Amino acid sequence: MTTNQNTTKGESVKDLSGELDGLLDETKKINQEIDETNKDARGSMDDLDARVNESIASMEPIYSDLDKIEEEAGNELDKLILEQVKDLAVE
Amino acid sequence: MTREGPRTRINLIDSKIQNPREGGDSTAGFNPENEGSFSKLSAKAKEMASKAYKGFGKIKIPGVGGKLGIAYNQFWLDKHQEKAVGLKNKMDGFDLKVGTLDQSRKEIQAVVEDLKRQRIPGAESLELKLKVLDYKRIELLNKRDQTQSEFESVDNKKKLYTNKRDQIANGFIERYDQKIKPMEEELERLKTSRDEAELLMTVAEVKHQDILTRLGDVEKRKKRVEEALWGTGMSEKEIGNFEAIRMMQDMITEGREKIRREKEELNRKKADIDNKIAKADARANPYRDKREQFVRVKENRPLQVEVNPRQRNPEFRGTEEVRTNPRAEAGEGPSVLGESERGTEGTRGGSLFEEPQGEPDSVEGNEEIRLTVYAHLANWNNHVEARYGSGDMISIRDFLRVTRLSEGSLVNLEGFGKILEKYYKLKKIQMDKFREVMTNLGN
Repeated sequence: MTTNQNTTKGESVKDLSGELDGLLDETKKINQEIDETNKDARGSMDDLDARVNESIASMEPIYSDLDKIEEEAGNELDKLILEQVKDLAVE
Repeated sequence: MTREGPRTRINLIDSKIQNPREGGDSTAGFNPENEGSFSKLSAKAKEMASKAYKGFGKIKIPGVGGKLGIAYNQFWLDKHQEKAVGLKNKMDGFDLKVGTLDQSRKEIQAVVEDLKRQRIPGAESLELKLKVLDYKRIELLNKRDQTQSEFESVDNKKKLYTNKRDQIANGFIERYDQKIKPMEEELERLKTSRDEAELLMTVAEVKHQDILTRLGDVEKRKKRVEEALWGTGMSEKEIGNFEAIRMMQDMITEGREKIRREKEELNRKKADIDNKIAKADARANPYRDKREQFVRVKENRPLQVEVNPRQRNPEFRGTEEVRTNPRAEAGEGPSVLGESERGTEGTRGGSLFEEPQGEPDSVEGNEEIRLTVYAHLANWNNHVEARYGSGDMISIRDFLRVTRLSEGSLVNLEGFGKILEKYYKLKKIQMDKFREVMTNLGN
């Protein structure tokens, strides 16, 4: 290999090495972006999850009231049944 | 009294009151405050209750549903109706007799008039018969009136009873509605949260896809450099010794792995949220059902027994007005979440923005249309404004707030389209309306 050929090869390798460094920087940035994207996505989903939990918890008193209504309904219906029994027995 | 399951309690009532002498008076099944009233019932009343419960025994509805089944059992109405129908038959019999008398009277009257016209004696004795007929007629009408009064009393009782049970049902429907309304509102908010989760997943998916494309691009360019190095005469070992190459390969592999793991994690979180929402909706269903039970029991209306008006009072109209009973509107029942499953998707069979399928890692094709979110939105709004007016434009601020994207985020057209669809779904806006704009934008 001649000196000229060696010089040309050395320059090419240097250029390519520089290109590799540029690509490495780009890859680092992409990796950083992955971390940020994942952090954002997870944070948003966690916020949403917390809101869903809050919303579900806020329904508990409603269920409790509905259970109370059911109990009262049972009582009212008892009375209606008893009234009918008495009434028909007299007839 | 021990706390027993509703079904067990009903079975107890069923078995005990069918055999009132066994084990004394049965009070099981009634709420504690009503047990005293039940035990004071006469033997006949208990026997009646036994018949009603026997009929009910085959219906498998627990709790309030079970009591509704008893209280609204046709048995009670039938008892009143049997009596009303019997009285109605009696009245019909009187009407028939009165009709026959009227016909006879008419014929005798005609003969009397004929005799008088021809001056033939004997008309007076026939007129006397007419008087007898008149007395009989009055007597029959009096008896009919008495029967009718009795009938009206029974009929009114039946209607009053129907009104009373409807009044109870209406009261509970109203109370259920008062509580079910905020529950449905909360479920609606949860449904919106589910749409929001979908949007967030889509945003992450688009971002991940974009990053994977760029990683693929970097990897391709790295390979081209490696080939060029090989072309200079370097061995594979020498090329492999480049630190930048090794680091880059590690980062690419790690980046892809991070995205894969994150996708899994997000899917898990999304499934968890969906599961919680589905459970909340399922928990609401029994309450919706109970309300519907009260609505449905009122559908059992009393038999309408038509009777002829009293002859001396032809203007009579029954004063008893059976109140109208509001029914739940058709389609009221189904789950809110169930409905949402059907129809707010903007497009069918995938995104309208889908680009032609090419090389997945192709950079050239993607870079052409990879714009900032702001640019995509501005472009979208320009098209929407030109076609539908400014009222349908998207608020860029709201879009960025909801998607958590920055206006400088770069996305391709397909990714923007996917996010836009989920955004419209979250906002409950039918995207089909914008089909024309979507087509123009895609061209």
